[in-house]
Amino acid sequence: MRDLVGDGGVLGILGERIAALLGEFAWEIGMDSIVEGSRLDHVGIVVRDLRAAATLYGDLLGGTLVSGGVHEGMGVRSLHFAYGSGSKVELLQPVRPGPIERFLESRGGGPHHLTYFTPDLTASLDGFAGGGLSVVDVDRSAPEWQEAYLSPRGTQGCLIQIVEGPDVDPVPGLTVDSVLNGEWEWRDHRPRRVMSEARR
Amino acid sequence: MAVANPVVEGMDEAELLGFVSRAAVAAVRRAAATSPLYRWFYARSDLRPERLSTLDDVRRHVPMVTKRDLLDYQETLPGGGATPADSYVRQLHLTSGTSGAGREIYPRDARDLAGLGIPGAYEYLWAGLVPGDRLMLTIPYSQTMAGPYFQETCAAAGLVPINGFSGSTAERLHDLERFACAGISATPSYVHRLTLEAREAGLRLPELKAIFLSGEPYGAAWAHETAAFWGATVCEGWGATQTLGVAMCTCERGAVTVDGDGGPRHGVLHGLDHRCWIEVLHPDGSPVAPGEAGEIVVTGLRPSAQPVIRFRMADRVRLLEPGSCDCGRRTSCYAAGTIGRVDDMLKIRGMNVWPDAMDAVLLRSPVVDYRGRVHTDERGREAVDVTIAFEPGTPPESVAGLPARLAADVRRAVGVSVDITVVEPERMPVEQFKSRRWTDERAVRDD
Repeated sequence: MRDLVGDGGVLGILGERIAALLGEFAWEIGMDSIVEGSRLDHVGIVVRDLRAAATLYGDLLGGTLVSGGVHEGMGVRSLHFAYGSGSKVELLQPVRPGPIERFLESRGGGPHHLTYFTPDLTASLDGFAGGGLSVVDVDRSAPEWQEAYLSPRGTQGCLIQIVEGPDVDPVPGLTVDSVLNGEWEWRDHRPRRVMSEARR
Repeated sequence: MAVANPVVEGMDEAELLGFVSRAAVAAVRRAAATSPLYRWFYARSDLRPERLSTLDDVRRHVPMVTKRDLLDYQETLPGGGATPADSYVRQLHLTSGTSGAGREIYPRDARDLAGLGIPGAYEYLWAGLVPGDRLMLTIPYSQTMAGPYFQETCAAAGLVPINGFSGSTAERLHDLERFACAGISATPSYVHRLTLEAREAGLRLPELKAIFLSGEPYGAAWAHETAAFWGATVCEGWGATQTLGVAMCTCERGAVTVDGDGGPRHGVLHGLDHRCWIEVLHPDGSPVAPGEAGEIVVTGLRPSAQPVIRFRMADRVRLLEPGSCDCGRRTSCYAAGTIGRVDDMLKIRGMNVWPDAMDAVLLRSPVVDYRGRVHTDERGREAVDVTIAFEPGTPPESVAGLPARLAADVRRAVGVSVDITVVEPERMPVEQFKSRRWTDERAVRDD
């Protein structure tokens, strides 16, 4: 769909106008703090057994593996599956102690967060602040990937990640086995092949 | 009661105020973070947008912006609040420039254009027009903003625009009848002319529901007589390029009501508060009390390619108590029919005309002084007479063609046609203030 619409052309401009009209509609029904032009990118799900989860969300539910790898900062190994509608799930398995590991131990896994992409993080944060929502962990350190979180206290229990950045395109050559074997890691918000001494 | 939007009109006063407060704070923060104009402007102050949380905070801490500030900014960074070449800009709206100070540039993005017609749709729907009705537009599309604005407003209300800005008054009357128009949008002066010509022709338009006035003040008695003649509600809207359409308008009660003693009085303008926060302020910046008049200062609440934050409009209005219209809507309220200027600008045939700009054209040697008069001629047309005097001793043959050349210069620089008459200097009335060079004797000003 994104390939069809692109950033320009008749379809792209039509999409821009539709999004703008939807923004006006939302305002006229009293939604003054929406994230305009935002879209739900994926649902993050914490799992204990990543391979078993990959079988469920990939083979049985028809998802296509598009990205994944170890995220050292978060202490997780992840797999992203995409579906025909454009929706995605992010499977998160803890690899060392940290918030995800604690979530798994305390709740036994399950839905952990929603990730929305926004075209304008500043405007979105303004809207949240205007709506009385508590924004935490704003990270603007990387120009190509800026993010913030809405605390579950203000969202009726749901952790929401807001991201301003480009889509993560499907990664050629990435497989469930290669991720589980530790061949991929997240660097600069992209899956990269691990350049170990053995592989060199 | 006509309902244009049950959600907004269903808000009570506290809900609406909360909505406006959140939106105004967010608008300031957004502008401070993303607008080149406001980043430049606020860099000269100690504003801390993150510390704002209420309307009162905004009122106390956010500096007001003037036309001069915007023009200064555009001189610093040509292109306006956004660079016109930016890929997200879809239209550029310019003000008329008839002040002589310069033309403000308003870049518009897709969001601006999506919202452009919505406020005006309230005006038309509240007046009782319904989707499918035809609305004649007589205000010329000579400036960038007007055309898109009127077309989009009709689209937002589901109305069919009948473009009547070319052709004669007789042709417009014919089209009003032929297309069974339910509404007409015009300046008061032009409505007066239409009325005279229709009366002379014995024309009645039974389909006409409402007459939408804008652009200049008018008297309550005149509006009452006009409504009676046409059998239609006289309505009014106020807005500007800066507000991206109307920011206040009348409802089905119209712009003129009748007192218990039968005397006409001005009706009520409702603020479209959920889209534009309107302040009415004394010259020192303090808010006026209900019943008092002051300068209109606006803050656009929707995201925009060119945000407008606490912009001083130099228009003057009388503030009323919220909810003071009999219709029961809990909006901010203002006196209809009375919006004028805090400066000496005149609105002539829809053009903003500043005496300073006239002075610049007319007060050149050998002209020593002049007087201007705006009036309504016997055909109901707005006319401008200018009387000039030459320096004593000026040889007549040296200025033979000067009045015609000056009239052409006025037309070119200010945009209005004038008739110029030469008198002896001693016949020119002595006035101390330059604004007294002009008198306004138009028929629609009856009070």
